[in-house]
Amino acid sequence: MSELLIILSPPRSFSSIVSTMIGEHPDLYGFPELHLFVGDTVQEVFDFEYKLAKRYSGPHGLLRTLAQIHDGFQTTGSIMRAVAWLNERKDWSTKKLMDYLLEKISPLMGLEKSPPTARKSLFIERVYSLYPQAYFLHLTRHPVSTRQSWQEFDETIKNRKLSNNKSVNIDKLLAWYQVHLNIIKFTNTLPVGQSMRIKGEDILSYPDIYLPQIAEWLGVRTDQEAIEAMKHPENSPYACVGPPPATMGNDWKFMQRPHLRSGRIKEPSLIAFFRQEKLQWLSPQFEEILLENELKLASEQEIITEITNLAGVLGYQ
Amino acid sequence: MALITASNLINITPEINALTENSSYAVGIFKYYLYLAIIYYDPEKRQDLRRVLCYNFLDKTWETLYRESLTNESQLNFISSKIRVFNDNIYILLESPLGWQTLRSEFRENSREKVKLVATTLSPEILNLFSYRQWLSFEDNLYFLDEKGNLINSDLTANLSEFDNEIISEIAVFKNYLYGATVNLERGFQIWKKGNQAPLEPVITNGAYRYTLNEKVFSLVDFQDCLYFVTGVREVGEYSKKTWGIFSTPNDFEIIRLYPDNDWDIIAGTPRFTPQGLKVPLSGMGPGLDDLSHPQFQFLKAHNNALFLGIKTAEGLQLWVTENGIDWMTIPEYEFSNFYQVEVDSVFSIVWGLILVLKVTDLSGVKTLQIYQIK
Repeated sequence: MSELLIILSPPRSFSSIVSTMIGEHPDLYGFPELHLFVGDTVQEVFDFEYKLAKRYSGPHGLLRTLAQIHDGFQTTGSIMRAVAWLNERKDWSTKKLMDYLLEKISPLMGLEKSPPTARKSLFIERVYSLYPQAYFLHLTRHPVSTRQSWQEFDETIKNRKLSNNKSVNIDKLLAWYQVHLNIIKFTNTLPVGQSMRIKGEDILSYPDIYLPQIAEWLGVRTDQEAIEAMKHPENSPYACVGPPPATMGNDWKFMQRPHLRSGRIKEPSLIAFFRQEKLQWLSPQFEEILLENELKLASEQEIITEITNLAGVLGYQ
Repeated sequence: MALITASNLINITPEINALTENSSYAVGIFKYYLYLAIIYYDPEKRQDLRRVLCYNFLDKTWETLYRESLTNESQLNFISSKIRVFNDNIYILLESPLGWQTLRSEFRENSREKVKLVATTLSPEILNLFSYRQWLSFEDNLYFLDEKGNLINSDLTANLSEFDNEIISEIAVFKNYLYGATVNLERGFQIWKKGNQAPLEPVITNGAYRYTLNEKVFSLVDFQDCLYFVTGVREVGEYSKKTWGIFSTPNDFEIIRLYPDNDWDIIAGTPRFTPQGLKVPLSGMGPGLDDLSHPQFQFLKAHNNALFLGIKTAEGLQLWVTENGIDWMTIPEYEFSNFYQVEVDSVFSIVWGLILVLKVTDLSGVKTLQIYQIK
């Protein structure tokens, strides 16, 4: 059995609830977002976190994990101890830190799901070079739903002035396309069975059908008790808002309502969306940069065709 | 273990120095004999010919049954040769801009004799046969599948088009049901079945949950109480609109087998989660049989209690064989690797062996037709 399962997905792809559900399997330990694979050292992870979200003391999910593992609970006090512990180890490699966490949860299999990992091929390749035996689960969500959720999330971040990201904007459909492409290009290089793909809509709509299959693939228990545990993500110590100063670590909405809700998740129509929406793929600033570099974006029709084709491969229309 | 049932590969191509890119040919099997209908230019006699030959497997000889010299055939453009075997007769069409010749077999008491061909006018019903790709009999009805993917004599085509299906690519009769497999570019192939009294029902949809990477079913073969099929994206040549290159490898084909109760298993392909449970390739092989050269599917044929698969690889034509559907072995001696390119035109399973009709391009770029008998 591998010691690590990595979930790869763009942001806003049900990754918080899905990873927490899978992580509630008795043989697994579901970490919150560790954001470890964005750098080679803990210092680089700190730098990335500051760039991403103005955080000085490291990823919230990582701090919550350290507090939980060291003290057995998450309070402001235990988080502060985690901050101090981590500060003393900025020179550690991310591999050393991840190994440390895996050792602490042993013999359970660790589950990591940080969306930033799939943002760049470099980050994904880093995971693989450090953990070549890891399982990889490619999690998908309909492009239109992802875009809408992503835009809402960005709006919230903007209003709360949490982001330090000054990069120019692209439409979230382009981002959806690029991140999935990063993942597919990587998983295509893996041996048969080391990676699997699942639609988030399927697992949330039909957990009794898909959770046992995931357990079977991972080679862990598939009995009723184990599957029932997976249907209760709210039991995870990371399925709630964390204590200050590490309140995050999972999706905000999920942490406020962490229960699995019954019912089928509807998938919108991509064709209808393209028919109705007039999209501005790039912000004027981005277009200006392209122009300065004598580059130009593909035509509207080419972009729509590419996105539609990729959606088709992932099972979305 | 007699897994590799074929021990002899015999080239039985007639030596008429005529089967080139600019000729038109058709091959058919009828009552123990192999028939070859061709229109070609004979460089020795400097004339265009329409010709039908017959191969006798016992004495290993070709005999010309019909020959007609032509003049001014416009350098053999727009020519067409077709053979159809239907209702205990063989029908041959030799068509060119200057006209067409139709032939049919004459009745013989002894069916083991080669037939005599007579030039005759064919009924419209028989002429229609030449535009059908596949036909079969089911519950006292004849079903014809035309080149455009329409199933004649059935409401199946109209019914299936409601579900984003482009065309019906294959039909088969299996365990008292008529099966139809579709090309579906939006969602992936679908397979439907219809019983005598039973309504039309879906068997597999969404390209067996590999979605648009399985948009077409290439074959439906009844083998050991299962229906085997090969699926994937359509040929690259047909596929200019989609830039599959970005996906690196996934356009390789899969082999799947279907059970009479609608359950199914992946034989070779991508493991995946499905509404019917976790599906993993039983052979242990991934898409394209793990061949890194991204092989193209050529044929799938049941023969002599074994299932044969032909694929075009970077090294030529590669044959695979299985006796149980799961454990596949290559037949190394039948790698047609000394050719630059080989495409399988048609395959026949008969008492004399497996007959492979190949379109071959040699290293100098010359294209020829070659016919092999695998005993």
